Amino acid sequence: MPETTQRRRNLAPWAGLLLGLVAILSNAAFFMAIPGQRAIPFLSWTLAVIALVFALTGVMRAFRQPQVYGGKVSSSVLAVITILIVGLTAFASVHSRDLPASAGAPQPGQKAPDFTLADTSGNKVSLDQLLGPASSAAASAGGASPTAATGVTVAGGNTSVAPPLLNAPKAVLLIFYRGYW
Amino acid sequence: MQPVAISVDAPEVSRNLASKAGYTFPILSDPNAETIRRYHLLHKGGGPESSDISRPAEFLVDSSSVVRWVNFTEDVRVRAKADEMLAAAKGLK
Repeated sequence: MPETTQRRRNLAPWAGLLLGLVAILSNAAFFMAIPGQRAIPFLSWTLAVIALVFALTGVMRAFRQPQVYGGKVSSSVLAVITILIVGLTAFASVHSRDLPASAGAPQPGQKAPDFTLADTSGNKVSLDQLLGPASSAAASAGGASPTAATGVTVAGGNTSVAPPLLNAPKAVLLIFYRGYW
Repeated sequence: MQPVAISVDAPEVSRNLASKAGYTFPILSDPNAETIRRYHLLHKGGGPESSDISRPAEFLVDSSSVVRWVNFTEDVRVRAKADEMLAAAKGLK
């Protein structure tokens, strides 16, 4: 007697794999100058969860309804790959968000702590100097000599203090970054 | 507005970065993370080989050394947008 059960293609595992790939590849969007970057981690998680649902659905269909859906082996293999990709996506996401609380950092309205650090030429630069001559009257850390305020460079090796910038900026944007570029 | 970048990288490393990326603003070295600590930004063991680095953060500081705008990203992959920073800077007159 001819088979009357309708055969259906088991596409769920493929959909799961595809969504998993989109979820992990969405990390590339962080490197593009597009608006709405902050939404990417949320979208990525959502896609990853949906990918897992599809993968498991595909496996369940293949094993519970073998007359309708084929692919016990293929769906299992695809599901394992999808789980691995989703796992990687989750790991990358958790790792990128594992940051210290920084509760004590200066907030708007508070004074920015002073500092004196070496620039790329080895010259010592202080926050006062960066902010301009008006605020460099106070001695920066390390005991800068008064001549620094008049724009005369103190001679001598790596400890020379750079003269204040000529065109004093209205503000300074301090960009702290991870380094190890 | 004057951008100033700070990290634990040594001056030579930053010099490389500046020339490759074409940056003309000052890049400062904080190898012992002293200033990073002063700003409460230390990310202990966050760098390669569990080195101490800074977490990413931006501070807009006015001419009297007062902080006017901050940005602490929750996710290292999300960068502060240039227009956000310019808007904050424009608010300072």
